[in-house]
Amino acid sequence: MLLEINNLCKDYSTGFLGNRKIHAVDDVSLCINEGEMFGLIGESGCGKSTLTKMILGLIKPTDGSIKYNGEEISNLGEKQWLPLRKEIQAVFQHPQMTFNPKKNLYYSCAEPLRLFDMCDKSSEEYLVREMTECVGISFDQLKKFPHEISGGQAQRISIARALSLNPRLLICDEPTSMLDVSVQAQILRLLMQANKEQNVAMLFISHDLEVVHAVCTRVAVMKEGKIIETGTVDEVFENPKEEYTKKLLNARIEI
Amino acid sequence: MKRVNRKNIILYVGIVLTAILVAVAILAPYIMPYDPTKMEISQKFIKPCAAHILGTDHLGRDILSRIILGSRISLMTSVTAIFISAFIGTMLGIISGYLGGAVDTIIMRIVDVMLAFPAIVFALALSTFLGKGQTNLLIAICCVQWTRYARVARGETIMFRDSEYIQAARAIGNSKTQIIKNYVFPAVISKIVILISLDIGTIILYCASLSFLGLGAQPPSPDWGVMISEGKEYMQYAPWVAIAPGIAIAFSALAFNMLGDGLRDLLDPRMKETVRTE
Repeated sequence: MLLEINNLCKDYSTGFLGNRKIHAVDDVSLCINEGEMFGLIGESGCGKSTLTKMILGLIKPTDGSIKYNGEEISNLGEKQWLPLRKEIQAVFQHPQMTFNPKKNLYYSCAEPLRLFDMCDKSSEEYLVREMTECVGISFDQLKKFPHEISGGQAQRISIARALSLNPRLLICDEPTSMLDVSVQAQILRLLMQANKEQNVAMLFISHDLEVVHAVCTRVAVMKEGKIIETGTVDEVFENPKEEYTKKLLNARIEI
Repeated sequence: MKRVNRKNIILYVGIVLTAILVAVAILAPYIMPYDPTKMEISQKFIKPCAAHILGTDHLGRDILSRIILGSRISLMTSVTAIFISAFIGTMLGIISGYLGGAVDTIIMRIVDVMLAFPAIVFALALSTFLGKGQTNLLIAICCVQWTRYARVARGETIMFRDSEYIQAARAIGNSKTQIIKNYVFPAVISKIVILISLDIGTIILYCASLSFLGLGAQPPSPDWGVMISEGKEYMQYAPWVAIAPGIAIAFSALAFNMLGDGLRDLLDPRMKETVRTE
């Protein structure tokens, strides 16, 4: 068991005097095995992104536990998280907004290598070149700034950057939702290749059912902060138990 | 289009005036006609004439020379004051905004207290503790002025703190210090630069008023504020002694204000005044 989440909750207080609670994530439990592609589907605003942020330690959960390799990570401080960043990486929804807007892309690509002292100055350029060519981006493109390249290119670079640290777990928060269909296929191929070659486990979050169907082995369905159904892709897609899942699947067919 | 042109004119005029001022300050020893501290009692209160373009003061010193050398003191003091306070303010503001919580509350309450004091009164109060002199003038101005930068830097930081690219930066493994250094600071600094250029004019006026009140540079150094303070005694029959440095102060404040306004409109369209129908 690589990642184990038990009864995870995140509440936000709103209203006058903060007396109204909103359960963004409500009693969520799931587990991801070594090298597994795990899908998480659900409509917009159901708490998927809140969940990823908690797994990445960007926000603190209200209650519950997140265990990575058997160790509790939900209560770690900023400093204790740093060594774990190498193991748990993320690909975000808006590729252009994941890079430092004031620096060129070479800086962003070399950033993880520098942060974790993975190479010396002389081999840095070689490693960056290798890692970007892996995802089909020419080295010259790296002279550009994040806003100067297309979404597809940016997403490929951000995947290359995340994979350069050899993570054990990759959180993909809707990595293809901002891209057009032809680019989507490239990105998915890239992710599946990484899964096969580096044995990276992935939490693949999406509201695109076909993508999840194509990529994942197990899937969970989320609604209003709760996970209402879990199972293998075939189980859930062929034989949904919950009404909501059926509705989601039907919506796909109608379109 | 007309409006854009008008703004550009302000910027260009500001650049030219500031350039003149800086050139005078740099070239001061070469262009001043007399030794600004040389006293010749027999030559006192000469009206502006060909030999002494702006006349002489009560000790027979050439006013033009004093004003030319005084531009150095004036510029040096205000530029130093502004950079020290911008540095302190930006750092504290970013830390305050990024860390939030108790740190933020403490720093911002200090800022509130500082903002509640009228700057001049605060500086006078401080001078009773520290004594007179140029360094203490600098300290007094910095004590008040850093709050402006802290506020702006904090506001900007809070805007960026939860943005997606900072979260991505955290996820890729940046520590707090690295995020502040590589992400927050570059994003905040452009606003601070604009604020600095807007503030130099005000600081020149502050410096002048404080040295007029006797807090800053001490006679016989040719500080503009000190010159006005000395000249006011003879306002009745030798008005040029006080008026000339007054015009110099107004000129430099105007120059920097125009430069600042022009720069702000050029670099930051969001802060533009509301569009007027002309």
